[in-house]
This record gives sequence, C-alpha cells and structure tokens, in this order.
Amino acid sequence: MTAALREALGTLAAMPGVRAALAATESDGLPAAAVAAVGVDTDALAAFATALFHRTRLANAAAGYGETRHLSLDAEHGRLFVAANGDLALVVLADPDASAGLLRVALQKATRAIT
Amino acid sequence: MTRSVAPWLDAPLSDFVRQARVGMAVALEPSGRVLAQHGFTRSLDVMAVCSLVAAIHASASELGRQTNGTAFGPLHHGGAGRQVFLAPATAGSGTVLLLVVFDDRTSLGIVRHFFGLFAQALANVSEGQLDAGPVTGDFERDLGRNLAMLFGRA
Repeated sequence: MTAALREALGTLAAMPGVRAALAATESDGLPAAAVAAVGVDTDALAAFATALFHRTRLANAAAGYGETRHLSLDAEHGRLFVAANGDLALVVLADPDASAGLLRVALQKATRAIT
Repeated sequence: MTRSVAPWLDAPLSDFVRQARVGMAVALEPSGRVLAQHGFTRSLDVMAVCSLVAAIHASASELGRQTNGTAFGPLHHGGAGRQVFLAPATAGSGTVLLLVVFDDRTSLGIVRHFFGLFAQALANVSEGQLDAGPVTGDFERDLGRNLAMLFGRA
C-alpha cells in the first residue's frame, strides 16, 4: 500500500460513522487495501461496490451523461459511497446517520490524493 | 440452462450461475468426470474442458504441494475478453471442481464471492444425498453416460 493510499484510507476510516474504507480495482472487484470494523466482509464489499459503480458508469455513459464522478447509496441500515481514479475505486461504508456531505467531500479529496 | 447428473448440484450451480452472472460453468470430479454444466452446447466441448481442467487441477495441486507444502487454492486466468476461474469445493468426503468462464458482465470479486456460497452449499450436502450420485466405478462408461444425460441423449 502506498503512503498516499494508506493516509487516504486512514482519514476516511476515522470519520464519524464510517465502518469501512477500502480501495479496490474496479475491473476485477478485488480489495487492494482496507481499514474496516470487525465484522465487515471487505471482500464482499469490494466486489459489490465496484460492480455497482461499474454498472452505473456504463449506464451514465450510455445515457450520454459522461463520466461518473461518484456514487452514493442510502439504505435503511447504512450508506455506501464509491469514487474511482482510473481503475482504483475508493469505497466507504458508513452508518445511516453519518454525514453524507462530509463523506462525499472527503472521498473526492481522497480520490484526487491517490493519483 | 443448467443441466446436471447429480441432483444435489442442481440448486447450488443454478444459483451460482444466476447470481454471479457467468456465461459458462462446469462442475466435475477431479478425475474429469462431468457432473453438471451450464452454457455449453456441445458434449465434445464439455468432455475436452473436463479433461483439461482435471489435468490443470492435478498439475497445480502437485506444484503447490512441492513448492508450498500444500495444494494451491483457486486459480484465475484473465484473458482479453473472457476469464476463467477454477476452484475446488468439498462435498462429503469428495471434491468437486468448478470451472467458470466469465466476461465483463461480472468480475472476479463477484465470482469469488458467489463461489464461496456455492462451496458452502456443497459442504451442507449430506452423505446420503451424495450416495445417489451417478458413479458405477467404470470411468469411461460413467463419462459417456453423464455426457449423454447432460445433452439430452439418455
């Protein structure tokens, strides 16, 4: 793990309400590095989050909406955020009461930092 | 369409193929005898694939034992358009090999995840269900009969 990636994941994971922050390759959905709470299946999180982002990106491109910057998903028991830089996707899993705005900004900042 | 000669493989393999969104899958014994398949249209293809998979698994396992002290786990080969994933799962006291061919409709991470569920389902199959398997002890005869059943000629 590079220092920039380690720092980016550490910063994201330390934010209030975050249960996991990981980096995964978008093409194969495998985790490259992760900081997660006990009980979070980071392999499954990486696989599903990147698949979701990949599909969304294809759908946006097909609809003529251009490049997908990030994806956020609100569910009853949690929030998911994904952003990608090349083939590397950053994924954040958070509690439902975590601040979506702050996490979104932090994720975009982290995505730029790992260039 | 998923077809099998082992009823205990029907549901796990159908679920795996549907959930992981893979194009082709073959379940076989380490000897190369086919148990179930999805996505193949010709019995000759399945026979060739099973022979190759059995050989690859035997070679990789032995290589693992010699270099690693124990057999290697799942194997993945990435190609330009298609990828293959090969992994063993335990069913009763035996082993079932699963070969999967997939493209960019899914990913290695997804395939690995649902293979885990497939292996778990096979681990829960009782010995009684496995005993109903289509094995007579005559390899050639079993292979021919299984292929005929899979392709609707039996």
